[in-house]
Order: sequence, then C-alpha cells, then structure tokens
Amino acid sequence: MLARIPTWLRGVSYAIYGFLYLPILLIAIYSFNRARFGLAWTGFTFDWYFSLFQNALVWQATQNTLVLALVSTLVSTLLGSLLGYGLYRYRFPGKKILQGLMLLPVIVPDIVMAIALLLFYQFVRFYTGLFELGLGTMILAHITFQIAFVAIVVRSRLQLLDPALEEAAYDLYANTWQKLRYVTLPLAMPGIQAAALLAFTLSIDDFVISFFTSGPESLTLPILIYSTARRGVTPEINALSTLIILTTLILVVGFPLRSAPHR
Amino acid sequence: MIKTTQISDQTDLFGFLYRHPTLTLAILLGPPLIWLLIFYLGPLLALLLQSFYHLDPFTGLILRKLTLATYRELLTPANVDIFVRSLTMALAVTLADIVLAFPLAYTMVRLASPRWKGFLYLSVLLPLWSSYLIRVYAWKLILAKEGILTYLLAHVGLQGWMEKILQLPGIGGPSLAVSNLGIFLVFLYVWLPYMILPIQAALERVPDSLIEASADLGAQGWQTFRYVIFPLALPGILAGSVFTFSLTLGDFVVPYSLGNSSYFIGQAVLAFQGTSGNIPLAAAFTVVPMGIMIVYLLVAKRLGAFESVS
Repeated sequence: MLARIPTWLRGVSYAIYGFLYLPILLIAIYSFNRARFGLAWTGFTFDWYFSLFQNALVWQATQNTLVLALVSTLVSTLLGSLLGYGLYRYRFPGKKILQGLMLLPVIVPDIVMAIALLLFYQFVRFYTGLFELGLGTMILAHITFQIAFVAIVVRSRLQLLDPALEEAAYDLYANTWQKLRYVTLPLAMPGIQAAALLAFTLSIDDFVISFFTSGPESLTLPILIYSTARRGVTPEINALSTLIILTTLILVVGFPLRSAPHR
Repeated sequence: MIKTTQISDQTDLFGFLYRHPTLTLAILLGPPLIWLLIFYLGPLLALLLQSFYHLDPFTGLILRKLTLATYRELLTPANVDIFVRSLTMALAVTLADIVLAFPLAYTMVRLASPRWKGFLYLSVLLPLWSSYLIRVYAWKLILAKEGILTYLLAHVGLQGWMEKILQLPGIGGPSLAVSNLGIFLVFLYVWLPYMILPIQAALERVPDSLIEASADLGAQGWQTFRYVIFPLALPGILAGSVFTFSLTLGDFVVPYSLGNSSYFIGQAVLAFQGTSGNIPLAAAFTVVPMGIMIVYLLVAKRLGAFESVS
C-alpha cells in the first residue's frame, strides 16, 4: 500500500495543531488566574465568573445576541432553503448570474457589506423615517448575509441526492405536495439543519456587520468584547470568552452527531 | 379512470403547480430574490452612489452630485500607501497560510484510521466556530510588551533576537503587538482553518492509485509531490486563498487591536466613516477591495478553484 506519512511531517502537523489551540487554551487558563493585572500566576479563582454573572450588561448582551441569532437563523434558513432548492431543481435564464451574485457575500470583505447596509439604512431613513438603527436593522443585516451561506449548503447537499428518488415519487402517484413532504424534505433535512447551524454560528460570531448596523441599545456579546478588550485585557473577558467557546463547542459537537447518525 | 385523475388534478393546487413549473419557480425563488434585491443589491448600489458624491473640504458637507473627485482623492499617496500595505499583507498572509496548511491537510487526508481523521477534521473546524474576536484578543496576551512571548523568550535567553527582528524597518516596531510582524502572525493564525479545509477537500479527491502509479513509474517522493499532488491540490489552494486574501483585505479588528498608526483598508474605512464623517471616501475605499475580490474570484474560478469545494 501507500508509504506512511514521514515522521517529520507528522511532527510538523501536530505542531500546527498546537498553534491553532494554544491561544484559546491560554485564555481559558488565565480566566482562573487571581491576578487582575499582569501575567504572573497568583492563584486559582472562580471570582471572574461570579462577577460576570452579576454584570447586567453581560446578561443584556447575551439576550440580544441570542434573539438576533435565533430570529435571523429562522428567516434565513427558510429563504435560503427555498433558494437552494430552486437552484438545484430548475434551470432558468440568469441562473449563472444569480449563482455568481450569491458568492459575493461569501468573498467580499464584511466591511463592504457593513458600510453598504449602513448607507442603505441612512438613505431609507432619510426619506421614510424607517430603519432606526437597533436590533431590528441588525436582524435584517444578518438574514441578508446568511441567505447565501444557507442556499450554498442546502444546494450542495441536495446535489448529492439521487434525482431518481424524486422521479420515483411521481411514478408512485405522489402529487407535488406529497413528493415534497415525504421525499424531498426528509432527504434535504440534514442539509437544512447543517445550514441552519452554520447560519446560527455565523450570527453569534459576527462582529463587523453588527458593529456598523447596531444602535445604542442593541449591544451584543462580540461588540461588548470588542469595546472592553480595546481598553485592555481583563480577566472577566477571559472568563466570558471561555464560556462562549464552551457553549459553541457543545453546540457544534452535539448537533451533527444527533442530526446525522447514519452516512 | 382518466377522467377522475383530470378532475382531481384540476382541483388540486399542487397538480396545478406541477403543470406550471414557471409559476412554481417564481414561488420558490420569489421571496429570497426579493429579499436579496432589497437588502443586498440595494445597499451595494447605495454604496456605489455614495462613492460618486464628494465631501466639500471647506464646508464639511456632502455634495450630492455625481463627480469623480472622491476617486481622485483615493489616489493621493497617503491612500495609495494604505492599499499597498493591505495588499502586501494579504499576499504575505495567504502565502504563509498555504505553507502551514498544506502539511496539515496532507496528514489529515493520508491518515489511515477514519476515526482519527474525523477527530482531526473537527479539530480544524472548532477554532473557526469559536469567536473570531476572542482568538484575535488571545494574541494580545501573547504578543504584548509584557506578554507571554517576551516572558518565554527571556527565559531561554532569546530576547536579543527578538529585539533585532523588531528593529527591521517595515516589519518591526516598539513591541511585537504594535508591529506589522505581530499583525501578520495574528492574521496567519485566525484565517488558517479557511486554508486548511479547501486544501483538505481537494487532496481528499486525489486517488491513492495515482500516487502509487507515480511511485511505480519511479518518481521520488518530492517528484510525486511536485508533479502529481501539488497540481491536483491547486484548486483547493486557490479556493482557500480567496478566503484568506479577502478576509485580510477587509479586516479592521486585527490592526486596530494590535497595530500602530499606519492604517489598513478596513481601518481607513472605519475612520473616514466614523470620526471624519467623509462617507463618500469611505465608500470609495470599499469599492477597491470589492473590485479586487471580484477579479480575484473570476481568475480563481477560471483556474478551477471551486470545482473541488462546491
């Protein structure tokens, strides 16, 4: 069979893994350090976690982050799945252009989208008084960048399916509704779930677009971390970061195992 | 028999839709397309329009009249400096990420046990799912003047080396945290998974038999790499480079939390939009990376960048 991977290559690879995880581990370690300033280890403590739980601002930001992520994921999964299915199932004029346009939010830097949305909101507000910056405008912004990701994931999962399955449903006298309900949707479900999970994590993690489209009342966790960390490294932020990483870890590791047991 | 099906088809909405695929398509694509038209193309047009307005330097008011004056302002040496700096950084980060990602992706693909492989794959994904801000911010702990790296280097007696490196023009600075080298390291780190995953996807498609055939034909290890593996991984490398390049080009968080007073594109946009209120210039500034990325994407696509990933 094949030659084994040389030992040096294995070593290099594990060193790169170390590089990927070292900074995250450091944050977790320092969230338990008693010292408020500096890097010297002065003892183990849970104090920073307790002071975090008593911080009203943190609770407010957590709530906003979750509302934003849940609402935007719900809408974008619906719209993006429709788009993904349409692109998978049908040929129509302008399809190539549409597919190219869908790649734009994926490859154009976030800041372009952020400024564009901000100007657009300003423009509409100028004429109609709508779109006061806040959680509402952030939800609209998140849905917009999530749709493309959802559509791409759903479509690429559908392409793995055997087209004969849908034809078989018609051959067996299923009408369009029955075909969608009992054949297409169950088959597409793992893809839709994966897309929703991606949309959710993108929303929770998003900083740049949130930062530009937020109002004074709509603080989210990334914005809170950014504005606090700019003033300096604090142990509370280390604690908050550790909690966020743990939460996403549980979410990501827990989900795919349950939604796709086979394959 | 035939008659009954016809009747049920006529009364059945879905039967009707089946016979009118264009209408079905409109119902499927209508809502998402209308959404993207309003909230995606609308903002991009607003951005483009703003970049043709101009901020009057004397009154500080934005003249809502189409002009190229803002683009002329974009070409002043100070601004061109910003583009050159950002592009150089994006290029350096992309190349370094390829160098780091390749061995890792190769090891992941060639490892025999599927279990171990799955674990390694998840380990690359996980940092991507933990907040990007937090990962940037972790580097402040490491690179700061009294940070972990300084501490470690002092212990092994290498701080002299670091001081020498920091004295290099264009790369160094008063400390790693405020040097271009520091910014480079952090970019390298935060975008690395975006390079690993597409390369891994491309390598996954290289059949074992090709590598065996190469060996059977007498190729040395490096020859197999140079003439078989690398060309086949190229689409993956290109796809990854689209991400690392674009992400570096537009980012303002990394240079803002680490950097010095010399701006990158993202910071310039933030400053012109926020503090100086020169929205037309901020808009024109974003048009440049957008244009660069569209060209980059078209070239990458022509070279087959996305065949292996999507």
